[in-house]
Amino acid sequence: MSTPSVSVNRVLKLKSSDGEIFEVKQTVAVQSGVLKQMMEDGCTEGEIPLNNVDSPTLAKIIEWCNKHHDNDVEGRVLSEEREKEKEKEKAADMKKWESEFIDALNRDEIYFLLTGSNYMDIKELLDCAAQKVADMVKGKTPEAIREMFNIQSDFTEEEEEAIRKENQWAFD
Amino acid sequence: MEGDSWCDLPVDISNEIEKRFLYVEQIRFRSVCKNWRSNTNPVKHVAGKLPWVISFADNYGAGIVRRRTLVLQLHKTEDGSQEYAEFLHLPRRKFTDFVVNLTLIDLPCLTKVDVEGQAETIVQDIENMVRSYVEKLDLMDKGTNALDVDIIGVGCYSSKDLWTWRNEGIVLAAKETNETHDLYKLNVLERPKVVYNEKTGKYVMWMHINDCDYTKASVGVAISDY
Repeated sequence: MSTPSVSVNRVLKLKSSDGEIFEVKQTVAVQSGVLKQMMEDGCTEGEIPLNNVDSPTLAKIIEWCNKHHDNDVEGRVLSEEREKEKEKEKAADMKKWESEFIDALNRDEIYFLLTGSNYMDIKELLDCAAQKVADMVKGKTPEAIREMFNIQSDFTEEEEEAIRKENQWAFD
Repeated sequence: MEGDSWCDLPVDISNEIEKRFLYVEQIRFRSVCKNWRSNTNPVKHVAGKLPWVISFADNYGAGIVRRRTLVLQLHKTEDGSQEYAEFLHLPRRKFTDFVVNLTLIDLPCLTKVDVEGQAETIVQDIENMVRSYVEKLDLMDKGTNALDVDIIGVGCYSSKDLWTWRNEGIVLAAKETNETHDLYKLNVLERPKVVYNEKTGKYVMWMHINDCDYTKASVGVAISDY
């Protein structure tokens, strides 16, 4: 996971779209594909502007990355000394933490977490948020999905009718 | 960030969400708004993502109960952990107490749109034909109440070409005298479906089992070697 140019003690200064500065350890920041690339290219001096991520979202993203970094470091020590069962337990604990993390967010916060993690290229976080949305949508009709996400249908009546006709059974 | 809304979901994120869906969910997801529709491709019939069994809602005319379409989806897991089935209307409830890896023989994707050269009524024609055979025992005359009809049993027809059909007789008979049995003739048995299980080489019948006042509301499973 580590690259020669990443040092444990150095921090990056991330600037959110609304101008707030967040300090993040380089070893944590490598979880972002974009920041990792910047570190490898040696262009992380000064503030790094993240124009598509606001401060509440960036705070959430950093919370996620810190948690996963801590787990990683601890995991490496444990895996040599303890049995696989402990590993599994840790994975289950992390899953639990992840679901509590994501369940605590409202719909708008999830939206910005999706766009933010996509922009910063943090795959695990994007996976987690996308799965959350998929779970929210499952078993719901298009009307219920619209209501949940506050979306107005922009289909004309004829278009709506045609869509339904294609697969009527899927809408019952 | 004001003005951002779920409808504006970027296409790459939309793909991330959509790839977690099965057939029916994809269809619904595409029907929410224009942007979500243009973000996604028309739903293809992908093996393994198709519903396992679709039981169409009743539409037998006035006086007959109409229920929702029942869709049972089989989930295969990539890492070889336990497979399970899920009903569309009961998301996240996993049904695992049966052996899966079944081959579908219940006509899950009947023609839904007439294509060039086919009669405009092809959809209705096919559905009518299938209903008249597959759900033979389920059809009731207008005004008939299911509660007044005794269970006889489940009849079966076989066909190699879906055109000519042979009556195989009653394959699951009602119980005439055993009053505590689910198949006791005064109970209700509806909408039987049969699938073939490749793993065990057995045929598995799914059906709606109920008691005479419709409070039991259960799924019945019967297994046969032939």
